[in-house]
Amino acid sequence: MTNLSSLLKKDWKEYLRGNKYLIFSLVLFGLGAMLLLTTRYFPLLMDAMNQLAPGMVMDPQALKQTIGNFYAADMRTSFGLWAPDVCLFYTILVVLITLNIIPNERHRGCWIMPNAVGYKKSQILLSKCIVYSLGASLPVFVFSLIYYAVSALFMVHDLTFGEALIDSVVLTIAMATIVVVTILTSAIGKHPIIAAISIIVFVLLGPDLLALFMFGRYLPTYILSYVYMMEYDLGALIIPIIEIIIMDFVLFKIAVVKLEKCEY
Amino acid sequence: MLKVENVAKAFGKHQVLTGLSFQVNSGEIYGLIGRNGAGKTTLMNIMAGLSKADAGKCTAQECKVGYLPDLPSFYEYLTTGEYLDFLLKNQNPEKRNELLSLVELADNLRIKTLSRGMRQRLGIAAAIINDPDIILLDEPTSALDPSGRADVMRILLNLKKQGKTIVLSTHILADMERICDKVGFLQDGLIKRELYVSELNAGCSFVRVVFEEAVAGLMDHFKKANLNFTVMNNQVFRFQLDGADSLETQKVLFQALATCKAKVLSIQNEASNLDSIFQEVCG
Repeated sequence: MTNLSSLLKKDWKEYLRGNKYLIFSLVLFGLGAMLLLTTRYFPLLMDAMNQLAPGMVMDPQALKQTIGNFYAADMRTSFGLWAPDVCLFYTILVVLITLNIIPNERHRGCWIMPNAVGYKKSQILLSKCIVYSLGASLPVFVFSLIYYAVSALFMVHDLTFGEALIDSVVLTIAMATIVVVTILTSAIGKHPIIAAISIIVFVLLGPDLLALFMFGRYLPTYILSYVYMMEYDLGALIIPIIEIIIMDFVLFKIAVVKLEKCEY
Repeated sequence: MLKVENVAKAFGKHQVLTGLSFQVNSGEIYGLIGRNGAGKTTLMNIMAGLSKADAGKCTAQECKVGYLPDLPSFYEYLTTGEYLDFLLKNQNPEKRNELLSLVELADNLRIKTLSRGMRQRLGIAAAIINDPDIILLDEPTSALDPSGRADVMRILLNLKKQGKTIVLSTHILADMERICDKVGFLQDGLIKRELYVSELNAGCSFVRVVFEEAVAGLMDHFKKANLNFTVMNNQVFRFQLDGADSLETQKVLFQALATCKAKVLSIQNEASNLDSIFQEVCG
């Protein structure tokens, strides 16, 4: 096996046995289910009851009848809008879990023996980026598809399968990018927590703020606002994705130089 | 052979090593002794190539070097066998089994469940995974119970039998006396004293004689008297008094001193076990 494939094998074991996939998936599906059920049963239901059937709450049979009449045709919101929001909250957890992986391993001296037998620091870093970005973003892909499918059953069905698939892929790329940037900045910076807070704040606020400006379409953050804006113009993703690839490459190089300079 | 020449290292304004030199012959076990913070780990890291010296050099003459850090850290979710497989790049299961049997560990133990002693043994297996000629062990027996220490000592003696050169540091001087061929006392960034442990084990004692000034012909004079001695520098000689014939040797020594041309400034008994030598050199 080559160095990289050995590292990938080891990191996958670490990822799976550390139950990180379980945490990621549970949080993602938990948030999704919570949002789905809350939207389904509470906010619009009460408003609708007040408007359509005042005084009906006192009569359970009539309430049942109202619910039957109410769903699925009259919900005025596309569920496609909510998936990116679930992923934004999920981002906070992912950033907090991944920010300390590299500093922690280096601090504990985990790399001494692998380095001694020929594993390069750049290979160790690359393997971590691959495993954790895939590990954190694949649940997003699966979740998004399921989310769109479930929502289509009883909400306004305004997304085709193709659009849902594209949205899921874009969200997956966005999540993978966030994980890679988090891991690389934590390897570069002295204080990973500051890097993590910056990333979280930027992910939560950046896309919305930058989307207000025309040039926001040409920045890497556009990939985060793309799904929310529901424009489905795939051509608009080309520049942000190229920028993301360049940004990850540059960050990777800086991180490797920084790690090579560090002594044990 | 491992040769360390004039190695210096500072962290900021704190000078840890100040032009330190020593050498370890092939097949020897060399013990580094020093107080906490004396620079043992820094020296080990430099010898292992993990840290760069500000000055001087370490030469291992094309030898492969294996290193066990003072607090070996592993990937906790792997098993012992998987960890060694990872270090072997999944290419040599026979070697993995051989190493596990050498350090007496099963291959399916999850690393996070290992005791401190088992971790040290796994660390030793990892340090020798590349079949190194020189093995550097930083505090391999610290925080181990007596049986754990005995296990580690047994493994090290096995490695010595295989012809490996070993440099180890530990605070447990009894362990040093048991397995080391030679020890060096690290103090103020230098090896302040070196001695062969066999000298201690033979029940020998030593007398250190300081002369007022360097005088030519002193070495020949003492050789003619059949005295066993080491020249520390031109003015300081260290004489060995053999255990059984100590009194006789003392008599010969004093006669030789009385008839030599140099003026004696001081005569001092030297300690004869590592503990007392440690107090004398590093205390």
